[in-house]
Amino acid sequence: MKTKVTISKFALLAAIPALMLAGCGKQPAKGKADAKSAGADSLAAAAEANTNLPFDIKEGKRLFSHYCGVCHGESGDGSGQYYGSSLQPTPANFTDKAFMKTMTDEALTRSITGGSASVGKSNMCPPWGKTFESDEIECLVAYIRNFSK
Amino acid sequence: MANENKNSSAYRAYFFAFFSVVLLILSAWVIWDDEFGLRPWKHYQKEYKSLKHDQLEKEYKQAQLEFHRSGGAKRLADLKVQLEKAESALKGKGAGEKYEQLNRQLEGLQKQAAANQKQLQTVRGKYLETEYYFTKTQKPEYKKEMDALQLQIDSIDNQGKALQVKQEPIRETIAQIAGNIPAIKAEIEQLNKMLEEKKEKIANNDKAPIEIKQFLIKDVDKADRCVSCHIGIESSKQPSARQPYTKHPLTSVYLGHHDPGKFGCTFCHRGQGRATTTVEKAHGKVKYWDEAMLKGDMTQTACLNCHGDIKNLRGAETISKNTELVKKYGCYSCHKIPGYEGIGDVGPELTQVGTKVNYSWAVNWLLDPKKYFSTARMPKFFFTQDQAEAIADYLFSMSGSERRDVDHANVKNDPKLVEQGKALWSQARCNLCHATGGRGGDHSKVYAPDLSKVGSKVNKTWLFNWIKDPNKYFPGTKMPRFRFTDQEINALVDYISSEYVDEDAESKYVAPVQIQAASIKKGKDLVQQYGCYGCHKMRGMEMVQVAPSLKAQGVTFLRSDEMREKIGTELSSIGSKPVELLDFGKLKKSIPNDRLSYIKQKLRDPRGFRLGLRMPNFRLSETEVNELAAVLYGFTDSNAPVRFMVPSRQELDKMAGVQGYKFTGDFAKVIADVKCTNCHSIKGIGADYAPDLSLAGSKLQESWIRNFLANPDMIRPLLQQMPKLGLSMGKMPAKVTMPKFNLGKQKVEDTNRSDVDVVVNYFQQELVTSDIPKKIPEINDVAMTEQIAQGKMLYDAKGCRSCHQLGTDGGAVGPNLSNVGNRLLPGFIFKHLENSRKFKPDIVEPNYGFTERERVLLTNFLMTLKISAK
Repeated sequence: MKTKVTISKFALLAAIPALMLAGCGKQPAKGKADAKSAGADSLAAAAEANTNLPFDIKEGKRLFSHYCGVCHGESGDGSGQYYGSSLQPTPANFTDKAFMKTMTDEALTRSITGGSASVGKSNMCPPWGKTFESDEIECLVAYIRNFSK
Repeated sequence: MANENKNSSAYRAYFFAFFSVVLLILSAWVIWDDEFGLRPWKHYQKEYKSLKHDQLEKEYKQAQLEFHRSGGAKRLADLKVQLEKAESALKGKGAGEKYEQLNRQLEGLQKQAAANQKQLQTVRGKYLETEYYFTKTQKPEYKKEMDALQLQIDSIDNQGKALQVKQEPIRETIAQIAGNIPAIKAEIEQLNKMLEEKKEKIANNDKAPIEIKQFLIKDVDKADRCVSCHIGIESSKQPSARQPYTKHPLTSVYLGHHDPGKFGCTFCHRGQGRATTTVEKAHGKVKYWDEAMLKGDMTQTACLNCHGDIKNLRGAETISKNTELVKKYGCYSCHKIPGYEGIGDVGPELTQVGTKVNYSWAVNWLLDPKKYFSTARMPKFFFTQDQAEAIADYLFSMSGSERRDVDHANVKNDPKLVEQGKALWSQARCNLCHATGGRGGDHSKVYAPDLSKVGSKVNKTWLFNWIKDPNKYFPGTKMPRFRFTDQEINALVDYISSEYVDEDAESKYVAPVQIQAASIKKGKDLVQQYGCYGCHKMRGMEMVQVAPSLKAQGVTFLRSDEMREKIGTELSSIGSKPVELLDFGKLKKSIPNDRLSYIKQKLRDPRGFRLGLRMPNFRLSETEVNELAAVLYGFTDSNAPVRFMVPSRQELDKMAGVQGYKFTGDFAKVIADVKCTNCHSIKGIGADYAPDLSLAGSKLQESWIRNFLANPDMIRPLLQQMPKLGLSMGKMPAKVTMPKFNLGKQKVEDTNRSDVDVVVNYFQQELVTSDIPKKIPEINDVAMTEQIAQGKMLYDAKGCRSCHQLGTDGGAVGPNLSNVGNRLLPGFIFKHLENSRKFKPDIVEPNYGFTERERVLLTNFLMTLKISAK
C-alpha cells in the first residue's frame, strides 16, 4: 500500500513538469515521436551508408584509379593492365593480407611519398611527394588499406 | 469550526510543501538542462580535449623515447656538465670578477644606448611635425627650427654610434673570457625545446576554455557555431575518426583555399549554423528549416555558388562530372540557366527532315525514342498515335506534301561497293563516335547517334549528301566532313544501308499518302505546346520564340538564341527556391516536402505531380537523377559577396570587354569542317578527349604533324582515351586513335592551300608560348655523347621504363618514346620534365623534382630516340 502511494506521488511529480512544459509550448512526449521515426531513420541510414562511403575513401579511390590503378590494378591486386609484361618486380598486391600486415600506415606513406626506391625496393614506383599534398596521400593510404579489409 | 480551520491550514501546509518540492526539482532541472541538456557541445569539447590530450601525450612520450634513442638525452647531460665546468672555472677570482664587472659595464652602456634611441625618436618626431607645418605654411621660422632640430638629431645619432663603438671591445672581451659558454647554452636550449614544445602543446590543450566557438562572417550574415562541436575541424591530425572530432577532409584543397574564418561553414555546407542545442537542429534536419546540411556527393554542389568554371577545379570532380548531364540532355534548351547560354541546339535541325527519314520511322521515334535505340537522348512525350502522326505531318509538310517511306527491302546495294565501304568504315574509324551493335561510341560526352539501324531510317540520297557535307544540312553539327571522294561516299552509303538495317522496321507508306491540312495545323499546335523548337531548329517556329516582354514592344520575329523564350521554368535559383513555392500537387503526402525530394521526383516523373504538366520524361537512371539533382541544387540565389566569386573565363572576358578566343582565317574554316574541337581543346574551346592543342606549335615538330595528320597513328596507349570513351569494355579493338579525315588531299574552301598547310601554319603562328624555350640550356663541361649517356643512365635510374616503352620494353602508362626525337621539340621536353602538370593538369606522371642539369641530360638523351622513316 505504501509503495503504491509513493509511486503515485512520483507520477504526479513527473506529470507536473510535463504539463508545464506542454503549457510552455515545448513539444511533449518527445520520446514517443523519436521512437516512431527511429525505424525509418535506421533504414535510411543503412541505405546512406552503402552509397555514401567516407569522403577519404572515395577520394582515395578516385586518385588511386587514376594514378595507381594503371599498374596496381583497379582492384589493387597488382594486375594493372598498363604495367609492362616484361617488367620486374611486379606491382605490390594490396589485397594480400599478410603483406599488408607488415606495412604500417607510416611505411605506406613513406613509400608513396618517396617512391619505392626510397624504401629500399626497386625504382619502378615513382615518388609522388611532389605531386600530391600530404592529405591526398592520407586518402590514398586509407583506400589502399581498404583492399585488405 | 476551529477544527475546520486547522484542517484547512494543514491542507495549505501540505499544498505548500508539495509545490515547494516541485519548484525545487524544477529549479534543479532547469539548472541541469541549462548547463548540460541544452549545451551538448560542452560534452563534445571535453571529450575532444581528453582525446587530444591522449594524442599529444602519446606524441610527447614518443618524442621522449626518440630523444633518448637518438642520444639527445645523453648529449644534454654532457652539455650540462660542460656548462657547469666552464662556469665554475670562471668563478675563479680574477677572471670571474672581471667577467661580472664587464657584464655590468655592458649593461650600463646598453641602457644608455636605449635612452639615446628614445631621445632620437622624439626629436625625429618633432622634426617631421615642423616639416609638415613648413610645407603647409612656408614660414621661414619653421625652416630655422628644422635646421636646429637636424643638428640635434645628428648629435644624438653620433652619441648613439659612439655608444655602440664603446660596447664592441667589451663584448669581445666577454666572449673571450666566456669561451664556449654561450654556444653550450644555445645547444641546451635547443635540445630542451624539442620536448618543451610538445609539453607546451599539452598544457595549451588542457588550458583551452570550454566555450561556444563561432565564425562570424558579416557580409554573408552567418554566425557559424559548427566548430563548437566540430572542434578539431581545422587540425592537421585528428585524435579520433569519430564524429564530431574529425578534421576536415582534404584540408589542403577545401580549407586551404577557403579559410573558415572568412567563409564560415554553412555557406558551403548549408545546415543551421547558429543552432547549438541538438545535432538535428544544427544540421538543419528540422521542420521549417529549408537548408538541410549537404552530405556526401551533394556537398560539392556548393562549388557552383561561386565558381563560374568547375571543369578541372580540384575538389569539384564529382559536381564537374555531373554538370555534363545538363549538356547531354540539354536542360538549357527549355529552361533558362545562367552559364549555359549560347550552347548549340541538342537536337538536329528539322526543317528538311522529310527529305531525310522515313515517315513511319519518324512516327515511331516520336512515340518512343528509346525503342529505336536505348541510348537515345530525346525524352518521351507520351504522344498518342494521332498526335505523333500530326507532328510528323507538320514536319514533313515543310519539305513536301506526302507521307512517304522508302522500300528498304528493295533497295539495291552493289556488293563490291559494300565490301569497299566496309573497309572505309573501319579505316575512317566511324565507330569512335557512333556505336553499332553495342560497339564503340560514347554517350557520356561526344554524343553521336547509334547507327545500328540507320539503314532503315534514312534514305541513300540524303546519306550521300550528309557524308559529303554535313554542315549543309545541319549547320553546327558535330559531324566532321571527311575528305572522301564521291566514289568512296557511294561505297560507304551502300555498306551502311546494307549492313545496318532494322529487321522490324515498319514501312506503311511505300505508296505515298497525301498529308491533310488539318493534321498539319494540329501538329504545329503540338510543336508549339510542347516546345520542340527548344532543342530543334525548324522553320516557322521563330515567331513563337519571342519573349512576351518583347512581343509587347512589337517585336515579332527573332533568331537570336539569347532572346528566345524558354518554355520551362527558369532554373537559375531552383536550389534555393522556398519550399512553399514548389507545387507538390497530389504527391504532397507521399514524398517528403523538401526541395531536394521535389527536384528528384520531378526528374524521375516530371508529370507525376498533377495533370497538365508538359515536361517530357527523360527516363533517367536513379544515379543520373541523383547526379542531376546535385547540379540543380547548386543553382542558387546565394547572394555571395564579390570577394567569394571566381568568374569563369568567359565572364572575365565579358567584364574586361574582351572577345573570347576565336579561331581566325583559314584555320577557322578547317575547324568548322573537321570539328577538331569535338575531341581536342584549343585555347579553352573544345572537349578533353584528345590532347590539348593550345601549345601545339611549341610542342610538336612540323614534319611529325604533317605525317600524323595525313595518317594518324596511335601515340598514347589509351590510358586517357579508353576509360573516357567507354571502350575498355566490349569488343572494340584495343587501338583507338584519331579518325582518318584524309587531310591533305583537298584544298580549303576558297583558297589555294591544303588543310594540312593551314593547320601547321596556325599551330606555328598562333598556338605557341614563350614559356617553352626554343633552345634548351647548354652544358659545356661534358661532351654531347657523354651527356646523352648520362641522360640514358638517369632514364634507367629513375625507373622511367615502368611507364614508358622503348621498342617493346616497358610499361604502357605514358606514350611510347621510341620515336619521341622525331615528335617533340626539345624545349617542350625540357619544360615538361620540370612540371608536366602545367601542360596537362591531370597527367599521371608525377613531378620528379629534376634539377635543370638533369632535365638537360634527359632531353638530350630523349631527342636521340628516333625511328627512321622507311
